[in-house]
Amino acid sequence: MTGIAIRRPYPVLDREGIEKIHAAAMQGLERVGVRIGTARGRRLLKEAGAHVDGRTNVVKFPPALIQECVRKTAKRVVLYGRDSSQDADLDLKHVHICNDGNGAMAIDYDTGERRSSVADDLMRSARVSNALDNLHVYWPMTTSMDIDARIRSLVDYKLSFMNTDKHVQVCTTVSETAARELVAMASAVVGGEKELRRRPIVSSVSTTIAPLQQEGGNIDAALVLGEAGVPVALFTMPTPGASGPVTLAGSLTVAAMEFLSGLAMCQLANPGAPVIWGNGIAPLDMKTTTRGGGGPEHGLDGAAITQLAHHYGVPSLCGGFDSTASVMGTQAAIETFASGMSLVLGGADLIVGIGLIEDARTLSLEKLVIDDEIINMLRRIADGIVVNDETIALDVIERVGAGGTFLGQRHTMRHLREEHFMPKLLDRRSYDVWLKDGAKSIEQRAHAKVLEALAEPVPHPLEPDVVKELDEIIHRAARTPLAAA
Amino acid sequence: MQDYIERLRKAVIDYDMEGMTKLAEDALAAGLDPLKAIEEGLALGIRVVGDKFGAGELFLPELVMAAEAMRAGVAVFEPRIPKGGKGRVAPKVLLATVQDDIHEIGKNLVGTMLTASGFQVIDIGVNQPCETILKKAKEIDAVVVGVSALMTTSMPRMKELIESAEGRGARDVHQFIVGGAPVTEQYAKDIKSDGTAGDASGAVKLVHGLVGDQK
Repeated sequence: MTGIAIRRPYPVLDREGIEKIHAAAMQGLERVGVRIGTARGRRLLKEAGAHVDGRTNVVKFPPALIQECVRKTAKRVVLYGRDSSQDADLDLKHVHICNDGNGAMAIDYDTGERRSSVADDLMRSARVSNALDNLHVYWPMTTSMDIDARIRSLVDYKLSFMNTDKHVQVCTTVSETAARELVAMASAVVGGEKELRRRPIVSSVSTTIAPLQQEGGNIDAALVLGEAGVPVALFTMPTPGASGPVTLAGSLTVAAMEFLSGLAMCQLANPGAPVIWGNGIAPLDMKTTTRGGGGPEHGLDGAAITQLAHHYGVPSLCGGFDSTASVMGTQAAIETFASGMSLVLGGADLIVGIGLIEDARTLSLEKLVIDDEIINMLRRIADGIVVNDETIALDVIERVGAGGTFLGQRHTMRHLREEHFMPKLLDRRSYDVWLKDGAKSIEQRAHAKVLEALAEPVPHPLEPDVVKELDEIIHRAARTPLAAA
Repeated sequence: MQDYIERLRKAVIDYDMEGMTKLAEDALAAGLDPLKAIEEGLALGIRVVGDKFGAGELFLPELVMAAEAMRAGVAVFEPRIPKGGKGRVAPKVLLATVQDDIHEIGKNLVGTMLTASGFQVIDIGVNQPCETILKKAKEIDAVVVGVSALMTTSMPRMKELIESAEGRGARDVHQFIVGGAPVTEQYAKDIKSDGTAGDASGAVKLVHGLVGDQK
């Protein structure tokens, strides 16, 4: 089992705030409604007593329907790894970390050139991820732009399975067909659909279209995945000030309406299906028109979404550790720390976002390594201060006395590793020692770790006949146009 | 005898501060040569710990505890080394905090790390006048004299020490190094010292360099 234990989450919302947002979302669902782009979804909702406007496809939800669906949803979501040591149990008490995904650009780890991402980038990102202390779930970090678009995401899945034994979460199931292809590939890896249902090694993210719209293909895919037992994250991301109210409380309310409407369809189609609430609420930068994924609000509202999700008994998936910087450097580090800190302290169940810059566009393998060190620091902050007789250590204070040293005390050795954050990448040596050792920047040191990680073998590699089966699925898909499939 | 040497080495590696005195006395009673006990037992043990520290496998508390264990052993063996005969070969480093200053954490760290690198460290503590430092350096035949100061107000004592050494012809007998938070490379140069370092591991490199120079 993996994850970072959270002793005492730091709440962003108080009890009253949670209840107010919940009440507003329920009222909004009843009075304003959500546009549902899937005929299957509308039919399910209509049969369950919702009001469907046949002209606009806007559906209005009676509160009792939502409450019933919240009751039905799975109370425990486990993201299983190919190897059980990699299982991420979203038990609402641990923080799990996942890398950012689907970047179309990459900084070449060898030449430093910024270019379109290729299949090798994805493979390398998985192998570096395997070497990190704090990476529990893997997203295909890049999308293979050198592969034909029809089979691109399938190749991305295959390369992910081949290069990591962690749970693989994807965000590319945008149609029923795409969902079936994911289920087929994951089943091939674990040895059948029955085994996949028992230990789903994949999950998928379905994004809503803010404000208040459920895209048809995404939801159709979510319903297919639910049927196969594959967890689905309903990813809500109103942009405060543009596709949601500028006030975070207002955008949280829009997000809650979108999530609950999606949850209702998932539970009506497949009662008890595992669902996660995803959050990507990050502000629109009103000067540059770019998304401020590295903004302090992103982590803050993710921590709030986590509280709201836990209120409904479901885990959260929060975008974080993001940066809008164009290059790896000081700005990227500041933004990553700011957007990640609230989420770790807030106990977000799964934080998605390490390793890309330019707001989830461009892969930097060095950033993966640097972000891992940031998480080590945040772990220490989240761990807090334990107070008991052993940690107060009055007996040791007495033994050492005035003017003595605690360095040679066994108490020091016993507690050092849990009390002190131990840097692996940060350099705290003095100037002269650092200078004589080549005056290396943190990016240069991270690059050395990237090279080390790439030299390591893949844990639990796939059997050749499984790879062959995956290739056959891909070949079949290549011959079938997506529209006709 | 070889068994005792092995056990002494292991006692340092295992940080056995509490059991060292008895082990050392037993070894002497069994007829172990005290010089051999230090050089082949304790000193080799501390080198193992020092190397692991250098490689990042161990941290400062372990290094200090190993040095404490070694110190307890040396305290038993050293008085029993026959006078006038062959002594310990490890170069001697004298450490002190200058007069008007009682800060010593940095100096102690330097002492621990020099010990772990195979030097014989003689630390005469804090608030030491130049006179005492130079007298002691002569008495023990120190190869390197290291002084520290944490405050800008006590820093001038370092300059005073080196001038005083020049005055009495001791400047070329010992190498003088200086350290502490306010000390810069430039200051070390200005007062004509033999160097400074920004942290304890830098100090070990500095001393190795100076001792190498002398050979």
